[in-house]
Amino acid sequence: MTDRRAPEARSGLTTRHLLSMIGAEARAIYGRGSARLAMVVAVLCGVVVALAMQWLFTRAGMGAVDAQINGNPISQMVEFSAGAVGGWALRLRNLFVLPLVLLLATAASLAGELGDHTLREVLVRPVPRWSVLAAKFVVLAVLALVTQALTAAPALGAGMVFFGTDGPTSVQGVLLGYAASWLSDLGLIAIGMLVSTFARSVGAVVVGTMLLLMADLGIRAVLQGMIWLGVSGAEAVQRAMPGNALACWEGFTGDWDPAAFVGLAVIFGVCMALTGWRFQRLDVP
Amino acid sequence: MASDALVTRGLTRRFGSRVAVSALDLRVRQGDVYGFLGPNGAGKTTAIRCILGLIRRDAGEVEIFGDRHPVRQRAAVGAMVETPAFHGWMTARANLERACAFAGAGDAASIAEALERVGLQGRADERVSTYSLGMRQRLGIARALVGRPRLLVLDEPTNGLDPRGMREVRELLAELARRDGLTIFVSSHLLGEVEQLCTRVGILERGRMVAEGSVEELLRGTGVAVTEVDLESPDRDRLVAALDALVGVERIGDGEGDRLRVRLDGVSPGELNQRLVQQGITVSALVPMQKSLEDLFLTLTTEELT
Ligand SMILES: Nc1ncnc2c1ncn2[C@@H]1O[C@H](COP(=O)(O)OP(=O)(O)OP(=O)(O)O)[C@@H](O)[C@H]1O
Ligand SMILES: [Mg+2]
Repeated sequence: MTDRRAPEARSGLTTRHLLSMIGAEARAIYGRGSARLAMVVAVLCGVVVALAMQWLFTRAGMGAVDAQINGNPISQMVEFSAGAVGGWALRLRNLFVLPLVLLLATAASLAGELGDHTLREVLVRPVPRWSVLAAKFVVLAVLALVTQALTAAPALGAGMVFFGTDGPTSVQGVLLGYAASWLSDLGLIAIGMLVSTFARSVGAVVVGTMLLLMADLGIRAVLQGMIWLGVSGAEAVQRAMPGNALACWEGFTGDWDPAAFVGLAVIFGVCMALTGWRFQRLDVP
Repeated sequence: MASDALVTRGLTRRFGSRVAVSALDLRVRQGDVYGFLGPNGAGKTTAIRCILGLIRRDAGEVEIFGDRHPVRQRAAVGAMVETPAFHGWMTARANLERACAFAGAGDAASIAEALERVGLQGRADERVSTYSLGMRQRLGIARALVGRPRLLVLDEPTNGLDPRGMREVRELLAELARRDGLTIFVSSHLLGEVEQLCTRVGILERGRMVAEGSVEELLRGTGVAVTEVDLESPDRDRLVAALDALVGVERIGDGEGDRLRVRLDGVSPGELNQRLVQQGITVSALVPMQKSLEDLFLTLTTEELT
C-alpha cells in the first residue's frame, strides 16, 4: 500500500522557504554583538590606517627633524598612494582581529545555538539540516564581504583624497587582495563551522580553531625539515597548508601563490563536506 | 481512510549500554489527546526527540499523518521539547517570526493569534530575556502553534507554570483539540491533569510501553487494574476471619476510617457482599474505591522496578 521509496522523495523545500530562512538567519547573526563588532572594527581598520598615513605624510612632507628612519627620509621608504593605504588597511584587518571576530560570529551562530538549544527550535521544523547550515553560511559569507568593503572603502577613498592613485601599488591589485582575503574568510568560516560541530560553546570553538592552527604550524615546521632534506613535493604541500592558504591575499603585493589558493579550495571543500556530514548525524537535544 | 496522526514502530535509542527507548510502538489517532506518561528517566523526552528527528534513532520508524519522509512529515507538527529556548535579545514577536521563517508557514496574523491564545499579546514586544519561566513556557506553546500545525507534540508543557497557568494551558489544549481539531501528544508527570485532559494514555517505563489505551479502558482493567473495596462491619473480627477464608479476596490493610481494604480478583463487589451475608456477617458499608490513574501509574511503574 505504501510506496517503499516514499521516504526518499523530495523534502519539498522551496526557494522561497530557503530565502526566508536566510532572512531569519541574517536577523539573528546581524543582531548579535559579534557581527556589529566585526563591522565597527572593519571601518576602524580602514579609517585608522588612512589617518595614520596622512599623519606620517604630513610629517615627512614638512621635513620635520624626526621624519627620517635610520637616516632615510620616510617619504622614500613608505609609499603614499591610495593603493598603499588600502594594502596596509588590509594587512591590519587580517592581523588577527577581524578573522577572530568572524570566527566568533560563526561559532555563536552554530556552536552557540547548539549550546543554548536554540538550534533545536529550528530543527523541529520541516527543514533539512543542510539547508540550515547553508542559510548560516550565506549570511556569514555576506558578513565577511561587508567587512571587506567596510575596510576597503574608507581606506581607498581617503587614500585617493590624500595621495591620489599614483604609486607602485595599484588600486586594482589591492582590490584583488581584498577579494582573495574574502576567500580566506570563507575558508575560516568553514573551519569554524566544522569545529562548531565538535563544541557546544563559542569559547571552545575559538580554542579548538587555535589548536588546529597551532597543529598547522607544527606540520609546516616538519615540512620545512623535509624541504631541507630535499623531499620532493614537500614545498608545494607546505604552501597549501591552512596557515599559508589563509594568507593567500598577501599576494596582492605582486606574487600570488597558486598553491595557497589550491590549499584554500581544499580546506573549504573538506571542511564544508565534513561539517555537513557530521551535522546530519549530530544529536541536537 | 484517515491515517493515524503519529505512529512509531520499534523506535529504539541507546546511549552507550543504556537503552533509553526500547522498541516503542505508539499510535496516536487523529483527534486524540494522547497523554505520554512515565516516571523520571523513563525515556519520554528521548522518544519525543527521536520522533522529531532531533536525535538519531538506532532502529524503528516514525510516520506522521501517513508520511514517512523524515523532513517533510514535520510540516504538520508544532513542537515544544523540554524547556523552550529563545534568542533572548530578540522580542517574543521576533522569535515567533523566526519560527515562521523556518516553518515556511504562518504570518503576522497567525503570530498575533498564537500570542493571544497564551495571553502574551500585551508583552509581545519585550525581549524574551526579560520573561519569567512561566512566560517562556507560554511563549513556547505559542511558537508551537504558529504555522497552524495539525499535531502538537509537547513535552511537559505545564512545567514551571503556576496553578492558574497550568489550568489555562490545560483549557487551551482542550480547546485546541475540540474547537480546532488538533491532535495533541503531550508528555506529563501530572496524572490528575492527564486524567482530565487526555482521551488516551500510554505509560512508559524504562523505555518500554507498559500500558496504552483510553483512561477508562486502563482503569477498567486490561489485566493490570484491580478493584479495591473498603468494608465496614460492627463485627470486625468475624469479618476479618471471613475475608481471609474467601478465595479471590485479599486483605491489603486499612481503608478510610475503621474500614478494611481488600483487593478483589475475579470477584465483584456484589458477590463479595452476597457471600459475607450468607455467612451472617452484617456489612454496614461496602465502598468500591475508584482506582485513579495515579494508582494505576504507581502499580505499573513500581511493579516493573521490583
Ligand atoms: N544525551 C544522553 N546521554 C546519555 N544518557 C541519556 C541522554 N539523554 C537521556 N539519557 C538517558 O536516557 C534515559 C531517558 O531520559 P529521558 O530524558 O528521555 O527521560 P524522561 O522520561 O523525559 O524523564 P523526565 O520525566 O525526568 O523528563 C535516562 O536514563 C537518561 O539518563
Ligand atoms: Mg523529560
